[in-house]
Amino acid sequence: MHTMARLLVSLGAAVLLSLSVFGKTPDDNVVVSKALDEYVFIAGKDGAEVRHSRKREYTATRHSASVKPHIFYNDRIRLDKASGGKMQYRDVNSPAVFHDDSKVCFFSLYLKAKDKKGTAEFRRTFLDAAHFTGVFVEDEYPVEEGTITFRIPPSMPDIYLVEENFPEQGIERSNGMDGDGWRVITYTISNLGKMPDDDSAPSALSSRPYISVRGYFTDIEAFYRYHAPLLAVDTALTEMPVDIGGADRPEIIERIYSFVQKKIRYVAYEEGEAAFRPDTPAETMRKRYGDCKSMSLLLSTLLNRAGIEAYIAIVGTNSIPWRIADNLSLASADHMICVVPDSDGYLFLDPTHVQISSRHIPSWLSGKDALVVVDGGFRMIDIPDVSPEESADVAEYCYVLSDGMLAGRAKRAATEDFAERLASALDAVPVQHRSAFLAKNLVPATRADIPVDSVSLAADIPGKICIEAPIVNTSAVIALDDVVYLDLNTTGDPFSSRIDISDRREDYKLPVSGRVVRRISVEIPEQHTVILPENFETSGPSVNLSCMFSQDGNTVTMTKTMELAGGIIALGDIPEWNKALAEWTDACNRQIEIK
Amino acid sequence: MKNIIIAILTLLLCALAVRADKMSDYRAFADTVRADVFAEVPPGFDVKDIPAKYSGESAVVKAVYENINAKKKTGMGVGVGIVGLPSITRRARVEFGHLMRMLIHVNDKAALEKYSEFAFDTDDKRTFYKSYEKNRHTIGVRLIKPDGRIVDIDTSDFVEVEEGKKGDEKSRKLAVPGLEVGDDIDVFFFTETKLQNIHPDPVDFVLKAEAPILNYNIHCEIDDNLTTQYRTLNGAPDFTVGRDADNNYILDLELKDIAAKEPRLWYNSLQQSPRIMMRIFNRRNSESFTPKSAKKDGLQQNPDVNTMLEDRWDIDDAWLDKGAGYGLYYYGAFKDERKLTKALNKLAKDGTISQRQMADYIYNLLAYAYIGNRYSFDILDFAKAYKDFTKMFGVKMEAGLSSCDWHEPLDQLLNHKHNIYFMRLDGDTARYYFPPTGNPLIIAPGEISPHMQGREAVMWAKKKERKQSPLQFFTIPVTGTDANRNVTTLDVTVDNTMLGIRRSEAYRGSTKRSSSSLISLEDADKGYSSWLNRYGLNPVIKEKKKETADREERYADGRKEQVEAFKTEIESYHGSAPAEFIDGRITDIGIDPDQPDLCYDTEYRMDGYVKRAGANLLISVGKLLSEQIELLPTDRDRKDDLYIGNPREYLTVINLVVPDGYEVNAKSLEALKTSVKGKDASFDVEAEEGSGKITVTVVKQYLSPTVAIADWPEFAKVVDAANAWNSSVLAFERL
Repeated sequence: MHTMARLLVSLGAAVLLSLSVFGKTPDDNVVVSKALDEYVFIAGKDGAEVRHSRKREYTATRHSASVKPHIFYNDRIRLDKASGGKMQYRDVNSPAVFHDDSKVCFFSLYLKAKDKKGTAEFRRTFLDAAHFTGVFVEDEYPVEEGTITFRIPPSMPDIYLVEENFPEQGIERSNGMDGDGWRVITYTISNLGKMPDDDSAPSALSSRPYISVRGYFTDIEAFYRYHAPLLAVDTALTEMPVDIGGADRPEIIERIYSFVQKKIRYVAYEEGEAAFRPDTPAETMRKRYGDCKSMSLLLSTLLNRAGIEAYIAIVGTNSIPWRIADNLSLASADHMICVVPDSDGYLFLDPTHVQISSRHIPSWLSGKDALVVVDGGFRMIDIPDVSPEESADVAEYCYVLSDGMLAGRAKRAATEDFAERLASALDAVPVQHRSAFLAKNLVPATRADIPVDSVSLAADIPGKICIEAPIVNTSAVIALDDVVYLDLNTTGDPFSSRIDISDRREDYKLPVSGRVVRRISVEIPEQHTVILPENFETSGPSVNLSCMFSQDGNTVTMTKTMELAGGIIALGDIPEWNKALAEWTDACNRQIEIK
Repeated sequence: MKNIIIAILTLLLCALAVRADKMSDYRAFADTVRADVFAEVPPGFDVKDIPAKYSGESAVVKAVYENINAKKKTGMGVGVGIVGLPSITRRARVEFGHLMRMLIHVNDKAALEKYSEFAFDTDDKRTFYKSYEKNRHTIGVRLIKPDGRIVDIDTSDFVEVEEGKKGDEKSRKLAVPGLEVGDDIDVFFFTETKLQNIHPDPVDFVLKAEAPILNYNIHCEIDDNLTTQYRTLNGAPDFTVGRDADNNYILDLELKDIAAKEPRLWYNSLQQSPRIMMRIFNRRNSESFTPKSAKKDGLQQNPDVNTMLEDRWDIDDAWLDKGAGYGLYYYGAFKDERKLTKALNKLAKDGTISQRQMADYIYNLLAYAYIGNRYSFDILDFAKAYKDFTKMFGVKMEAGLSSCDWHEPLDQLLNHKHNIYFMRLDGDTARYYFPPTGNPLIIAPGEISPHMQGREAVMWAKKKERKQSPLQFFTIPVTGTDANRNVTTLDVTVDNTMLGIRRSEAYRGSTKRSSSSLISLEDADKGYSSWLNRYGLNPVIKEKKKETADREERYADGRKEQVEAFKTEIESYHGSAPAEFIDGRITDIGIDPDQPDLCYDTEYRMDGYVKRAGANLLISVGKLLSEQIELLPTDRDRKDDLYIGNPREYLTVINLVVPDGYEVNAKSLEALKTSVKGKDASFDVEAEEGSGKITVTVVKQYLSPTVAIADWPEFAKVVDAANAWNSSVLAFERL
């Protein structure tokens, strides 16, 4: 799952600061006053290599500052030279990865006053040109002027460069050729802003200026052949740990899928070849943990043992803007899943997630493509962009109004991607706090009391999780002199927070798509007049919102719905998103009057 | 050339051989330790069943076994003789081993994640002139499956990690294979330490954890030629002490069923959890400081506190008696030091200001020098400078010693580094000048940090006087609610479905802790500079023009960071982010001893607090009180006294302008009023209408530094009342 993160680290694009406008902002202090990068493709002993040299001149523009010039390397990127200060060499695992071979070389450079400069120089070699997939143009500081040069020999005519997310100004490309027939492609940079670091923004590959290096794999066959030897591991397995007796095909698939999801821990291990080669299923069973490759291979092996056709498949998640077929590059794939032919289509099984059913296509895979490794070959298939099983988070509160309070039952059912989020959060909660955690996830507002020991949880059905409990809500009823108001709005609904735009320069990426529904019904005493607020519907970017009130006999119901389309909210559309949410909240906050 | 190549190759091969030897040596060490440790079954490690009362725990520690082994060794080395010639000299060495072994039952996925991955350095080495410290670490893991099967985790499952230019900094990682919910994990950590002219690190046995412990055993085997001191704290039981055939001291301790876990709220582990602090010295050490109390071999069980205090006095008698030799000029922080010194001397001599005023002034002058980022802060250095400066300007001060509440109380002192000096004016037992300890960093002269209130203390006396009569301990005063108060004033207007809020905060004493992070460097500089501009003095920090320009540019960064800090503060206050942030500024950094409030104003708009009810409005007035603590079921099941620290009061005044065209519903106004009073806490709300506005006054008080567990239910009622008030609603009816 984290191969892409690892590649990004390798390319020196990680852990950078905020802001994305092009050019330096008044707040910036340190700038890269000169940036020189050169990538030279050469024929190495074991194939094509890429030599990278980097020079940076840093300048403090307003006040003294410390900077840490650095460069990343690993088993396939050899560090050749580092100069400019006293170097330190450290491991830099991503927090989500148990272990990989990424390392950083850095030093401290103190710019002791305004206008002081300091320089750093690094050289490294990509020992396998396949891993040189692209270059982010931005730096962690704004770049005043710089060049990125690619030198490609005549012996590598297939290599070409594609610009992604380039701004209208600030980066210019020029193509040339030297006396030996080498192509020399130079990107000249002037006044380019710094690389932002914002978790809520779209992925860097989708949004930041990027030079995509393509052509290493001339066709999909070559791409497959690169991976094939690494995927050829012994799949012998002496045990069948899942009882499939008496189950039909769908049930067998669910049982085996569920076993790998719940009994094998996801642990990312990406050192050297292990970043691409799965553990054998026997080893994964012994360890009871594995990365996406190992878990997928175990899953497909177990399914095969049960007589079900299943394959491992290389995929790219939706943090990558391309499909594999559109960009034959290692940068296009960062994950592995298990694919099962089913009727006239396929099931796309991602065992690294605990609560997704076999029939659901997780949002991070929808619309992508998959290289399915079949016996002695491969097959490219498209992953549909609409899942047969919808993701939803539906909470229902059935109350009776009595003695100035609402009493009844609360039930929250989450499916697929929403169930996954809830299940993952639940797994991290120690068992002694679990009931309180579940109760908290049911409470629509403060002063709604849920007896903690009466909360029930059902998570046995794949793709579903359901919490249920009796509830007494004392804050929803406001009795004035001749009227009672019912406040049926729930608080703390997911994704209903405003996006702060005061200093924001990035688009916003919605983390999930699906429906969030809150249905609250109250049985009121007979012979009362009920005045319902007006219904409300609105749309914003990537969202439809509604709040509907109805009465059926003595039961009044409020249904608030948020339909999230997923995807990206453009920076300019965020005020509209905030406005739609604010209006929806106001509409949901309107009280039901009972006289 | 050929010879050179051969020589280089030979050297390279030698280096590789040495490296390989080191690796195989480490592996042999790790394998031996692992075999030895797992060959033993320490007490409690044969426990099969877990009491039913712990079935709902995420993890249960079936057994803990700690083993300390310390041996005195003597080495030889070459030193400088009396006439400058090389001579053989003695090196004081210690071989030290510390084993920590645990058997943990994993009951859920949270525990599985917690105990499934380990990382450790294999070895590290520090060397100095005649000293070194060499550590080798290893861990061992095995699983006990529910059917009793034992699965040894082989070292081949460990991942070797190399750092450093040549990969010579080694560490290891382990993702425990085969671990599943329901297993027991038997894990040990062992460190072998070889020391020369360095004393072993102190050891702290904490006899309570976040999971129940069924068996806790400690076994120590310590050479009688070393000095061992230990102190039992917070009700920890004492070791049983014996001697073995080699005269080593054998210390054993066995505890069973440590059920109570450390509570989430109002608990100070360092002051409440049973613990044993231990220090071991080789008094022959000529390079490291050896306290006076440790200069005799043997075991010192809960040693006399006056003896331990002498360790501190022994270090500090000289400056406490004669001064450290600091002067303003020496300090070099201010422009025109000589002029400033002269002016201060004049003030001191002509009696224009009192002794207390001078003490206050010098305190803030010194704090300005530090907090203005001119020096790296050190509390001992501050105390020395403060003593010297006050003496220089004729202020009669006496020095005393206490300890912060993250260390052992002074009357149970074990470690001479675990204390803090303070000053007080001769004969003035009401006012204490402690160095700022960091939380909050900025305090007014005479303000006592919450970490020092109620702590044991002694005043320093000359050695001769100490010999004549032991020092008298006393308690640093615990200030009351007046000195530890947060006053919040909100002026609130209704604008359609938004609330416009202007909020002023004034924090005093211990309530400052949560807000001091809002103070920017610019606020601090200006605050100190402004306050110090009195008595005809105007101290200015000495800096070059470039430094001034640098600082002013940093102010701009600080202002930007401060906006984010205010937004965070607002979100923390209300539990949700503002719809619009308008302004936030510090108005007083709180360093005036007569008015020590840290004050700031902030202005913003909140949505979601105004709800339409037909023609009427409902205002979530409870949200205008800061977010109150919500007790979880696990918080209610409490076994320990509550550590409040010191009394404090939170006063919130909400002025809500009645919206045009509406009147307040009297019933809903009346419903806001609340009063829950207990012995140790209270929560009161008054509400009234007048002059076109509703005024709600909320007072929450913590009245005692500690609350006995017997009084917890009553205390919890106050906490619940405050939490419940957060959802209060006020109704306005359309006229």
